[in-house]
Amino acid sequence: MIVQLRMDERLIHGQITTAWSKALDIDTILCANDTAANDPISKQALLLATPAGKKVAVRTVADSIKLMKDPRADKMKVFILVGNPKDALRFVKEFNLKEVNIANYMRKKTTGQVKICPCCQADEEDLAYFKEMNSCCHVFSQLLPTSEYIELGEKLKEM
Amino acid sequence: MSKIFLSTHGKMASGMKSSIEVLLGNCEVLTVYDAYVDGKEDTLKEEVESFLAACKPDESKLLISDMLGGSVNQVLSQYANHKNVFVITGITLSLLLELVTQCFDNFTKDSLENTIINAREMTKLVIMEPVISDDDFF
Repeated sequence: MIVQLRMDERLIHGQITTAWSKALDIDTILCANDTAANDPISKQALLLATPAGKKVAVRTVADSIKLMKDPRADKMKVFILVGNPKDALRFVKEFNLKEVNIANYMRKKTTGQVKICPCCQADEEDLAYFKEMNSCCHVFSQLLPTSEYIELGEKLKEM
Repeated sequence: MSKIFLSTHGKMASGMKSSIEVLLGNCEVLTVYDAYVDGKEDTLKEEVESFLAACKPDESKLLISDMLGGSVNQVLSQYANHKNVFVITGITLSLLLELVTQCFDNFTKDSLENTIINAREMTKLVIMEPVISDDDFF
C-alpha cells in the first residue's frame, strides 16, 4: 500500500532519510524517476541514503507502477517519491490516491514560472498538471513532519 | 525526556544546530555553545552549569563535544560522574541526529553505546558499485 506520495525533485535526501522515514509508518521508500533509474551513478547515490531497517528502490515510473500493482506490494508500507508533477499525476490517477504532498520543485528554468508554495513553482505545462491533480485529489505541501501544513487546493483553483 | 548540550571549538556547534534544524525542523532539546570564538571570554563552565541547572533532576543530560582530548571535552568530562549525565565526544551529524530524535526518552549507558556504534557505520569511504539485481520485485 502507498502511505504517502511526495513530489520532490531532490527525491531521497537528508530530510527524507532522517525525518520522514521515522515520522511515517513505512518499511519501503520507492523512488519513481526515469532519469535516476536510468543513470547508474545517480541510482547508487540515492541508494546510499537507505535508512537503517528500510528498503529503498529506484525504478522508472512505469516499473514502479508495475511493482505497486504486484499483490506482494499490498502488505508493504511504501513511501513513494516522484520528481515532477507529471509523474505525481500519473500515480494519483493510476492508484486513485486521495492526496499528494508537494515538496521541493524549483530547478526547472523555463519562463513564466508562478509560485505555488515557498519551495515549489510551476510553468504553464506544470501548472496544468497541478490543476488536474487538484481536481482529483487533495493537494498539500509539508516539507518536514514538523513544518507548516499548507493546503494548496483553493490556491490552485484560483490560478 | 532528555536534553543535549553541544559545545565545540569555534562555530561547529551552532552550525550543527543549523543543520539539524534543516533536517528535522525546530529543535528545542539541543542547546549549543561555540567556544573560543572571536576572542570572546570563555564561559563554557558557566554555560554547562546553567544548562544542567535548567534540566529536571530525573531527565538524562548529554554533554557533547567535538574531539577527544580537546579542551572542551576536558571541561565537559568533569561532569561525567554527575547523576543522569553522560559525556560524549567526537560528534558527527549522523550521531547528533540520532540522539536528538531519541530525546523523547531517557538515555542509558547501553542505549548510548548502541547508538554510537550504529552512527560510526555512517562515517565511511563511499565506494560506488553497480547495483545488480535479478529480482523483478523490490
